[in-house]
Amino acid sequence: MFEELKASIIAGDQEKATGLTTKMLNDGIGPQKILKEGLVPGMDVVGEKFRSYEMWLPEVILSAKAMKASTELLKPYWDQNGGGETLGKIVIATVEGDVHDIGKNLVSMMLESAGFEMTDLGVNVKIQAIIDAANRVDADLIGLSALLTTTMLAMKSAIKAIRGSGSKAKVMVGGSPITQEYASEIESDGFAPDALRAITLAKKLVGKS
Amino acid sequence: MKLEAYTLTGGLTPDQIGLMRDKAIELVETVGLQIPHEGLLNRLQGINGVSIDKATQIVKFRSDLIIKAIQEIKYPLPDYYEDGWVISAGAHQTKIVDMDTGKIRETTLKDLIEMIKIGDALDTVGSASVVPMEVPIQLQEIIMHKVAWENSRRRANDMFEHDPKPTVRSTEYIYEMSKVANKWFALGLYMISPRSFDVVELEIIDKFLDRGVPMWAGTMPIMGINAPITEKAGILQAMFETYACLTMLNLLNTKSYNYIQIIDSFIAHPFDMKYSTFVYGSAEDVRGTLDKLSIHKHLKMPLAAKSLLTAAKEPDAQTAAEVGMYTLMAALAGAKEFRCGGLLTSAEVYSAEKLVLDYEIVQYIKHTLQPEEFSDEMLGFDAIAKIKPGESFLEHPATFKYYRTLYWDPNIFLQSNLGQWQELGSKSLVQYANERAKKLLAEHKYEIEPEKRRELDKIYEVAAKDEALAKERQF
Repeated sequence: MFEELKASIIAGDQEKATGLTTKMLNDGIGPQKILKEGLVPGMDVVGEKFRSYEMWLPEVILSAKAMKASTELLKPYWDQNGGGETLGKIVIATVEGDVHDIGKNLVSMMLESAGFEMTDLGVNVKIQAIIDAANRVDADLIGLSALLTTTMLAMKSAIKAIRGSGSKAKVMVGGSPITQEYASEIESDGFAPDALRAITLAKKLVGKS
Repeated sequence: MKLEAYTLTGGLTPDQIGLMRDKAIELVETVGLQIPHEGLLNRLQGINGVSIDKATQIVKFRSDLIIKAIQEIKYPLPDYYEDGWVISAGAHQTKIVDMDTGKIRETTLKDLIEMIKIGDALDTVGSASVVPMEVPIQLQEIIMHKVAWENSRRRANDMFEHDPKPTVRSTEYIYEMSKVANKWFALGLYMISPRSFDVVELEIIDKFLDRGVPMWAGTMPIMGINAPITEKAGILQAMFETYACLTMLNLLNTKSYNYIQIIDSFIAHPFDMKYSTFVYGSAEDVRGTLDKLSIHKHLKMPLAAKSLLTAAKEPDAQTAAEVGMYTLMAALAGAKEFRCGGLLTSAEVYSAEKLVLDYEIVQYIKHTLQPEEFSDEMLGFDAIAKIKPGESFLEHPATFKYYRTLYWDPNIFLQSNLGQWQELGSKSLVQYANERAKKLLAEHKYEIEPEKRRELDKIYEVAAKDEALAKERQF
């Protein structure tokens, strides 16, 4: 049944994935086992297939939706079974001055489907609001997005402010104008060129790759 | 409802084409051409409307014979022609860009087999790509046909080929092979501008007149060299020579049909007086092709363009600019077949990478010009009206219906972002083309039926031992 659940996630078949998840929970299978042996392996395959350009964005979104819906079904059982472990907590935002959110939203959705707990602050977010949210949720990671060459400059001061605030959160950056060189130059902890690669990076940064 | 296809306007008018045609017919009737072959002159002797000057071997045809020959042209078009976007790979090259070292070197039998296979994987038509230089000269054209037939579906197998048949004896072997392999066979007659023929080609025609094989007329005048320097005069000379040649074939080759070769028909090629070189892919070459296409369209002839030619020395910006612009213009002018894929430096060098790039460029243009549907669904009024601020169309039914099929998915013109490209090794386009060529070669499957291959092998063995064949080629 785990293989079937994994296949339903890969296929983006939300109805089947939630049906199987419900059945497994009713059969007394623990939520951690369902997550680790069915859902997460399915999303891992999706990530690989996206990286090799075998799966395309709409298909990945369907898989992520199926994953999210199934994970939601697990939540009520987490407390009874030792709590729901996430890969980590991430605060994500498009930096101040930039109102573009398509890329940031995709990254947020993918990270959530991969097992991260997401706090999405939206677009045009002031640095202090990002720091406050990171402190509030005790974030492991902060994701900063920018689409414009003018607004990407805000990332540099944002990182400086985050470091200065004493936050333990690592900072990952992304967006169309960002390069690895720029990401290094502004002393971010990592850069990913697309949403699926952001998962790999985030896992690496929280030590769960 | 489909949107109207994009087209090119301008160029020669129907009246101007008609005038050129009339002038060409007048030249055939009043000036004539030289036929330096006694046997053919004897065959033409006595035909009503043919006048022969034995001393100069100049033959003139009365206009009604010319018009009859034009009216009786038959084009054996392959099924796939009507859909268009046919790519013909370049042919008969003796130099190649080595796929492993990137260096230019002499072509071999191994190259011939590999280039035919890669070309087949890309659905190309046309003649054999390269000459196996280590094979004895008298066997080269024979094995080029053999390899093309053994390893491809379309190469040397329809009217888009124009393989040379250099001697009577080698033509006999190729003819025999075509019959056992059930492949295409036609004989071409290229005129030697101005107004004459190669004697050996005439001899081959003479020997095959009773076999019932299709024959075609072609010519290739070079502006400023063996044709006047102006482009329209070059076309007029090409029309005159082609009509004269066609009329001769129509009178002599009565057991089959005859046609005007669509590749080098009503066109003259530019010559660069600065470098003393034959030049392809230049502005003048493009203009000549556009005129040729106008004439072909007006006369209801098939539409082909040698638009994959370039004077560039390697697959670079010049290649992209010349091939892209030339092919786009030709496509807008109605061309359905795009010729000379894989050729660099004005048809001096063959390159598998260039063929892969040509394929990509043709696909790019094809998808650009593809007539789109215009409908309520395509207009998407309801989708726009129903979306809420902040929502996306990523999960809209229309997105899921069309995301894999509506847009062109290039093979090597990567649309990835910088980071993704870097992750894949920051490779150049030519490296991608090289990898694709090697992959196509490794995965190529087609081969002729084993019994036919055995028959071809037997004929080739006989040819290889044929001393008369070797002697004929030396001559």
